[in-house]
Amino acid sequence: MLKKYLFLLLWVLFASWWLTSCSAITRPPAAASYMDSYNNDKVTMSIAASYYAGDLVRYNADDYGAGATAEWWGDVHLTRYISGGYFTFGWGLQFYTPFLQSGFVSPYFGLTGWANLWSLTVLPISKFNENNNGNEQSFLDHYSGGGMIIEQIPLNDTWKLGFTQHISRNGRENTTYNKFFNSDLNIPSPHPVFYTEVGGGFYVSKQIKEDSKISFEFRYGRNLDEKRNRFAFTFDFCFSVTPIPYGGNDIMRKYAEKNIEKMKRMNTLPKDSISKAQSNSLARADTLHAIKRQWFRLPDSSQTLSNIYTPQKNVVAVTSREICYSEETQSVWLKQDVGNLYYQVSEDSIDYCGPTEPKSIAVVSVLEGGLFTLIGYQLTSNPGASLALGTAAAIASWGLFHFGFEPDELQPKVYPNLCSEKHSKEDLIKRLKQYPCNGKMKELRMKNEE
Amino acid sequence: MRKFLIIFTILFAVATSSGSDDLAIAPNFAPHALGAKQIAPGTSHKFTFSLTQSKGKLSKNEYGEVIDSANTYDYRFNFTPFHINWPKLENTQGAENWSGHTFGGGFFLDLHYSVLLKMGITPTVVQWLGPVYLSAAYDLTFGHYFGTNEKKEFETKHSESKFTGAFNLGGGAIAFMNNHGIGFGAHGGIRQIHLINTGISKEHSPIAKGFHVNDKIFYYGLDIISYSNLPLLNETNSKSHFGMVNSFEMGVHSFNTPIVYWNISLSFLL
Repeated sequence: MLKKYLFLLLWVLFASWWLTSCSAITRPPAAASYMDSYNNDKVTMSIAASYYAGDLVRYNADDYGAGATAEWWGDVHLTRYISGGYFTFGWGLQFYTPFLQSGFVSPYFGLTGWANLWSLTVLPISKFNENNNGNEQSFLDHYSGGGMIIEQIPLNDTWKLGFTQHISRNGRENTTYNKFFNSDLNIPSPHPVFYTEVGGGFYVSKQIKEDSKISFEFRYGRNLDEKRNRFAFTFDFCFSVTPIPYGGNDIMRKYAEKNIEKMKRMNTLPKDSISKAQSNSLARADTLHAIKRQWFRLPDSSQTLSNIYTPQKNVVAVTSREICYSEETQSVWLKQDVGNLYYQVSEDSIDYCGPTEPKSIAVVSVLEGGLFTLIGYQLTSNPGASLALGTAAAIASWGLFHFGFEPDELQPKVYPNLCSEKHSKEDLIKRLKQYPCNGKMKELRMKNEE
Repeated sequence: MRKFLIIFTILFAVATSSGSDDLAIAPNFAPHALGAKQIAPGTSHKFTFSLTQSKGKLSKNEYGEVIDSANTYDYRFNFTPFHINWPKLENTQGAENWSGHTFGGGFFLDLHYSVLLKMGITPTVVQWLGPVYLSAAYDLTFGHYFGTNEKKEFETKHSESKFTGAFNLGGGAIAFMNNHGIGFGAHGGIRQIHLINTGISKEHSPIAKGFHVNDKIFYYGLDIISYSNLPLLNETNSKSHFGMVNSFEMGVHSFNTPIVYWNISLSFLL
């Protein structure tokens, strides 16, 4: 549990760092982990550390101690890649530059592009406010990014060799040291410098565990603007992590998981979807009786595929709008509250509770009314008009829920003593007998009895 | 779902209460493209919350420096009461490898409402051609606009009603990752923007005189999409599939353009 919270905390820190970072300089990202993201159903997380050598920019301070500059000789990149087969999307940080990356990926060939996030989003707008008329800059002056082609050759099951060629608009962080008044203290002040680079390199990667890999990458880059040569040595560690459940299908799988387990132990029949393919083995499942949405109590959550309500500890309540009872198999069929599946419950496990009442919609109306009154007052400073607007919003939201939905479709009201009353078996059977099952549902025995 | 609605209403309200409402613009078509692709099968209802800010340069001095600019906002709720999709989709339960219609298309009629007094209708057409789509929308907005004083505060005594039309033409592409149910899209085009303010006096700055800037701007946008299409509706006890589009859009800034804008929108397809 602690590990989970620590992970969550780390993730939140990472996300906030990503969102609040505001640098604009990028360099070509590590190629091996990008290639490794191919067809990975999980997320490929890459941690890469680089050392830069060659003609790095270094100026000594002048006589007054001002203006000493030094290009950074290293950085760390953190990137997460998600893949949809031949397409990969990545996002991360190059030291403190948030950047996005995407492209084509396959076992042998990759084509990728990257750009710093702020050049795509914020910078062009923020520049609008500046009256730098005589010295107008183009959009590209704030852009840092590039493209890379990667060829990969698997040497054996664990080792891979790759070659890269890139063209990019890089940025480097130049730190100028200025003297603090007349003291010996030097205050570093970093500022970005952009340049165009072409180059290439190679990498070797080794699989160390089933889903983790290390790689070493060398890259040469020629700075075309200043005619400098640079060399990058990158050590990259990448591993698979579970995706943050953002994707609809990821979320769906997660929710389906526990019900799929339950369905192995339960009889289920889909409503109206007994398709042609299935009709030979299963009878049409249209033999339930429609009732007013009703509460039922079950001994535990493993016996239902509906939403579970727990008005009190140890009370598991579900709702259903359809029901049938099979005397032959001593079981009851209920329908999911939202989905379209019927499921079978033993008559020994179930108890009836009473009809559902929809949750009050007054709260929503009052809330909406209040909010719109405030908005109205903020905008018009006219109490009468804002009150009228609030009233209209309250009535509109009440109307939306009242007329837009059937009472059965709204969330049921859960009160503390719900399903607290127990009925005798005779009462239950007497009640259930009003809704006899037909066809297949009448005959199908409970799974655990088979 | 209701929790989501309430949260977004609150955000919408908070945003609205701190800004003005003097901008008319056609909606983003990326959510329509998702609907036309039918990648999330069976989804038919669509609603969008969007926030747009646009700035316009109103006047320059003799040195070419901007001396006055307009800052306008639009907070909008948009929904689609009517739409037609082609081709018709038979399997609305979803399928393991369903990647949408290659040549899917749709016609959507949107209604929109902005706090306080702006509403309109937008017909939109989207046609997919393999991996890319083309779209055209025309927004008709009837709005009641207020004037602002020198402190840029609303003056409700000075107001007028205006009827505006704004087109939005463009296209885009979306890469779908079916294993995750995530899509990444980029779109762009050209759109018309109206920045409207009713004057409160004929003196002082151009702001006080009121303005109606009507211009066209090239733009691009990025979309992050989440959708479901696995045939697991029964297993998840859900009624239908869903889609969600987060879009960020901005005008391509060139120094010849007197206006710039950005827009964020959140759309749900149910």
